[in-house]
Amino acid sequence: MTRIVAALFAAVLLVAGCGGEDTGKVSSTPNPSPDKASATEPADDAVVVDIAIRDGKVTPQGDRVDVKVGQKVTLHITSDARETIHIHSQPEREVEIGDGDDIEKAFTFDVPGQIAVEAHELDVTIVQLVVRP
Amino acid sequence: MPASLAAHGVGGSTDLPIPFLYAMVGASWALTISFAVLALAWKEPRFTAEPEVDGPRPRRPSLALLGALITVWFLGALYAGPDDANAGLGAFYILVWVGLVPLALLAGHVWRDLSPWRSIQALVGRLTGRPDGYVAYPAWLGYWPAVFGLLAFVWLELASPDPGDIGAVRLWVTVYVVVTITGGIVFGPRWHDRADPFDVYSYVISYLSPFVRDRRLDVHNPLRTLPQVQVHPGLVALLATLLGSTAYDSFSASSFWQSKSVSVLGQTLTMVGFCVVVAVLFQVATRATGGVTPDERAGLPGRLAHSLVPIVVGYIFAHYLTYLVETGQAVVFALLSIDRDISYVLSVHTSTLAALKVSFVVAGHVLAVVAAHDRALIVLPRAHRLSGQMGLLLLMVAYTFTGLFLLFSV
Repeated sequence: MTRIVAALFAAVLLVAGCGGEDTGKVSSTPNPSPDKASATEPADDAVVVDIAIRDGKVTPQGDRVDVKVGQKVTLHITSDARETIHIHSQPEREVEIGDGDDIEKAFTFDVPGQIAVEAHELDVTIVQLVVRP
Repeated sequence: MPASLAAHGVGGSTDLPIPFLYAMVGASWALTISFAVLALAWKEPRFTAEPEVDGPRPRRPSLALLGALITVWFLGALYAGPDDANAGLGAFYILVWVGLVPLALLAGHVWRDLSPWRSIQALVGRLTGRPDGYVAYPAWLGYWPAVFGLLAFVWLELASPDPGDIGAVRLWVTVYVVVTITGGIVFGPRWHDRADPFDVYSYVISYLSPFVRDRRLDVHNPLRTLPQVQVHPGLVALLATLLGSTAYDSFSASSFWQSKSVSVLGQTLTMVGFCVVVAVLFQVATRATGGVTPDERAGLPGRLAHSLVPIVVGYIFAHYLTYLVETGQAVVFALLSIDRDISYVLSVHTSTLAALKVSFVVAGHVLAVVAAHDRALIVLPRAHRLSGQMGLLLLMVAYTFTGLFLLFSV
């Protein structure tokens, strides 16, 4: 029994070693569909996420956006209402949005993981940034 | 009003999905070993429960004192601390809730020693001359109060309007403390054995500890202690709540779920639905055998319930490991008011982390299958041993595949 578990563990670790630090293997769609108002610039060095808050609705909602560690991520936000955007990175970040704002905020993220960007007042996950090494 | 769906009340990022290949490797190992156990394994039970003779040993005063100090510290941080970035909130969600599992695995059911509510009960019992309370704890209640306590906790963490709201957490903890102290005084220590959600959670997990038996250092094969988990009404529901809610936690972070705006009621019902599905499938699968009387059949889910523990623990480790190790550091630093950089040792090693997560799930699955097989040899009639285990084996494979699917797709 113990031997089985040990062998299993070794096997999985072996696969991990062979796989190497995975780069860019994406299991979900690489980018959110363009009609959902988010787009990735052709150059690999910056990602722009267009976010529109209008009539109590947020676009996009729940999309995945792939980014690399250290890559610049610009949130371009237009809003017709006051809103607080939470970025669940470590540490947490926040953007205060005023009525009628059209602003851009740039961030970079150093730790791989998934970072939810949320409209706090409307209680909606706008995008999930998938930060890969 | 506002909520932080992905935030568990504390915030921070979540793990990357595990690569598809890892999920596949894990799934194929799980499947292969499952059927190997069924077809080739021993035909006589090997891990029959050795009955615990005198019940648990008495609580250790030094640990009770330590538990009281930690409780005062955490509650002080929660209630006296700031409303923003409250360290007590993190202590509650991470150190208490997630830390409970590794603590029980490494040190056994020390919760019993540490629990300040047991200390209060003992003190009051001594003062009133009623060490066993005023009312005998009804046997039919079993673990059900603990099940509802756990549901109340996972609701707060995963489905309530704002898990990070300090007022909500303070209210939850206040109600928990009042109910637990009152229950202890009225029903005696039995309340803590059966009804305190954290105490019961720790109790059940501790039987999987390879290092500690009856709260004393004693390295052993955990498959020998696992069958000793006491079966009372609600045991299956308890484990199903832990597994189902953790699966819901993964699921609720999916793009599919996030793209919908689901009401608090909808989230609550979905979360409870996950737990109910896990429980009902287990009830059905364990009963699916021939050659038993209706009474024996009704007893089968309880007699096989301990085999779910490794699946629960494996999946919870896979799901919460980064959270415990990395966000846990932030909580500890905040509690100690020190300013130090957090080490993201797991997050930066993405492949190792993914391999670890798959290993936890598969190891839990294998232990579960072995435990279930061994118990099936005892509880199933000889003629139905192979066919009678099939339902539970397939269900365990289904649980594990679902777990791996959630880890790779969300």
